[in-house]
Amino acid sequence: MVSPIGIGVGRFWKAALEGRSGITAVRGFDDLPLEAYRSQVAGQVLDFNPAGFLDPAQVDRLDRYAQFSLVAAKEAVADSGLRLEKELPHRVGAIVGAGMGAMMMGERELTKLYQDRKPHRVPPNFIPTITLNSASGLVALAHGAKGPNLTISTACSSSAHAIGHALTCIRTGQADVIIAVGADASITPLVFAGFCSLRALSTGFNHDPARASRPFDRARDGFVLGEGAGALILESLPHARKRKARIYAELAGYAGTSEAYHMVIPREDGAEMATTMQLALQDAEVSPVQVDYINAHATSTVRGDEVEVRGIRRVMKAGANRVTVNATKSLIGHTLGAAGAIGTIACAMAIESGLVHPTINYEQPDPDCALPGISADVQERSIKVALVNAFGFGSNNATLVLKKYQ
Amino acid sequence: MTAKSVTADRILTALANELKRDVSTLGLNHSLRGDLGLNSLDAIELMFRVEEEFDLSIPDADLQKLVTVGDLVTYIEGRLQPSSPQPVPKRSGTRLAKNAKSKGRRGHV
Repeated sequence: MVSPIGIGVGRFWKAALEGRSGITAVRGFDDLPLEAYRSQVAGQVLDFNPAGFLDPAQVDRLDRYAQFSLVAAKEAVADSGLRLEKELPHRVGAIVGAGMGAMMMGERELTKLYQDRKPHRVPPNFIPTITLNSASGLVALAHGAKGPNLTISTACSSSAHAIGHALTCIRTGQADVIIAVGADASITPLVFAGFCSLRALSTGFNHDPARASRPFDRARDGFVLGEGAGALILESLPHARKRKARIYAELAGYAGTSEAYHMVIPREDGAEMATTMQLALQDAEVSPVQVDYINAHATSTVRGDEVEVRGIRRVMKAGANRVTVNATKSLIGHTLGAAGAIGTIACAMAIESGLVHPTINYEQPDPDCALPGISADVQERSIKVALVNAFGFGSNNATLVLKKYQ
Repeated sequence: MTAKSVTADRILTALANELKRDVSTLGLNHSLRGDLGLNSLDAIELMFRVEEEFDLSIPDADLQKLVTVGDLVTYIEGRLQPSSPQPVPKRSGTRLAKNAKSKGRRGHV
């Protein structure tokens, strides 16, 4: 895990339970006028020193999102206790979910090209770095993973689909183990400006960054762009049992759909989101009434949070008032391609610990998206079944179902 | 001798910066691909640095012949030698052509 509230799952989880905000002021982009950015807050990973994790060539040449991917993947593999050199390499895959990819490198080199006017000096490593599958290639290389190797890019739902596809690979016998990663690091001059122009970002808390990301709260006014990466090791049960692996949770179900509605706005009545959740539950062979906890997509946009709650009410019916819900984005902002993976990690940690981290800045419920199960405090809950939602631009929805492993 | 050492130093420094290594760890007998572990893309990047450093253009065909650090130093030193004076082009050809034209004109008259 690489997140604005800690590098490493341990640090992230401790900070999450403490309700620490990782949202900070954007200092600016070179000499571009900061005042031209309507939003000036972001979930930045301020303490990432690549030299502490990677070799000098990787520090220099790899885009930040790929660096995050490698660091998160390495931690996940180490935490799993897997000895990859003992595995059949073609039975181990690496699937990365990334929304924006290597935009930092892309913007930098493009700027240099126009400034220096030297096309013949574009570095030869530019193409291998900028290709959208750079991180999945690098993760496979780093761990000798010769199995299914993909990059899945569906904006904000990318890594939820990456995890879902990993599940499919394991179920269909294509692999025993998949290193599933979600990553994005695109707090860049152009991308940030683009999100500002889209009117998607919070602009009302530039003076008080820690309060800007406030999913479900009445004063929410847009999401906060974040950066980060999360990695999980997904494994078939027989394989995990054989090596007596530490199992955090069971990945029981997955559904991915399109609303085929609008590139950035979800369907208002929540019906499509409800369908995605229902399909995932069917895939997991559990009924909605069994759901104890939902790690919501909840980006802190006025519309998005409302629609998701409507969708939850449609699926859960009366059960919606009994389910515990939280929003990881309240802590770290919207990490785009990394969001699905980070949400799944938060969900797995909740299942393992029985603790659901707070939804910070939830100060005043909004009647249009209130659920009793949302809280600004840590909640204790014995979780047997949980959902992770991830809804992406491009009208794209994904839901994962996790169960307590018993 | 002093001029040669300066060139060798500049090349070793460029190489050290490229590889992120201490310049004292680099030897003239080190092979670029083998000992220093440069892959084909690294080698191109190194050439970019050297070209910028010495204001040269190194054709890819020449690059392929450079196996060791020493080869690179020798090559650059050779490229930096002032080139021998070229013969001044004669103008007789031009005069001949002019004469031919006037002859032609005279012919036509």
